[in-house]
Amino acid sequence: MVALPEDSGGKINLRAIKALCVDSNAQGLEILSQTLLGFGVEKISRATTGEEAKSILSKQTVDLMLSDSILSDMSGFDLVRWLRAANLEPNRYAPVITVTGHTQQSQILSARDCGAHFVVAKPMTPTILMERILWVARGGRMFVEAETFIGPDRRFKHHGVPDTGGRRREDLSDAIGEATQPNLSQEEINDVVKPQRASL
Amino acid sequence: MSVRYRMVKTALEAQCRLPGGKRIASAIIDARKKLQALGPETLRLIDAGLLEIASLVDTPGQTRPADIDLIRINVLADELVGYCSTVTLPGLDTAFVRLSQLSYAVLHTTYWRNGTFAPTLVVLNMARHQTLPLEDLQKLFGGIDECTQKYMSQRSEPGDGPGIDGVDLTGIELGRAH
Repeated sequence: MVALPEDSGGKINLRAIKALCVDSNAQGLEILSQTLLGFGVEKISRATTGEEAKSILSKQTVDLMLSDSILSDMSGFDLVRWLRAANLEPNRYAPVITVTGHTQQSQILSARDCGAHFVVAKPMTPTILMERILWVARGGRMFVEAETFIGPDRRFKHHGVPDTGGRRREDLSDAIGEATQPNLSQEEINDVVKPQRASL
Repeated sequence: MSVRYRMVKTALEAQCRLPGGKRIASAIIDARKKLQALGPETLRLIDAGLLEIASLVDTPGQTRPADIDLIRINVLADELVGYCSTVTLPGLDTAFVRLSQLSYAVLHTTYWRNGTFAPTLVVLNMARHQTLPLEDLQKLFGGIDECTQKYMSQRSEPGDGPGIDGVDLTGIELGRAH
């Protein structure tokens, strides 16, 4: 995770960012909004249902969305899926952070696959949220559009091909095939690893 | 279907480095202050939530709560754990997470032992009122985990019961419980 440069005088300017907070729980909505206000975000829209959020996303530009995973009329994950598939430029690419209290495997997988940039476990502290915002703000993460997934590249930590095997063209197979050339002799191996003097 | 990759520069990326921003440390401190201001109201909501949970599990003979009540407990635990960022009550967030896990596990099986939720309620109240140090609370969490595991091992196949997975929240109160 990004180390917060708290002592290095790092600054962040979120004043002009247009944020959308979505939570069907009034106090939960207040917590999301107040955290962003503390960060210096001045333009915050609030929605208490998924439909209300859709309406806002359809009418105005949103630069950052925070959503609870459980809404009264849909799941927060479904809301993100809708956003990613919607023909709403530039909102469909907007960074989305989903907040969830559930740690069940099915929920984690659903969260990962909905197209959110990050899923944060509750209780979401200001430090955690700032870390995620800083990470998203670094950029450099590809946006993927496929039949079964639309959203930021899930392989952003560069942990290599998933255990289940890669599906991408550039993914190498982890199966070791038959040798295509004769093995190196011991002498050839020694030549490869022999220390050699080099002039710098 | 073809897969398209594109690099999109978002407004957040473009604007967050503009001059005139806040120091990151200050931003975090300011956010904490704003959350702390919500503390008194949050405590009232937490107490009301604990009372509601107690009433939901207080079935005659400590029998299994109805599925709709288990889902409500799960939703409440989800809400209440989120509130914990506004108060300084070490262990309370973990206790709510444990309640969420236990209610989820019970929901997905017909296995039941009377009084299952009683120890978790006791732990929640101790965490709320800070009557035990955190290290002792953590030992009690271990007991709840064992209970949850017991229910998980009895679990039916995923998807064959009601539950949070599909987030079928029809009839469940959200955000206006207290």
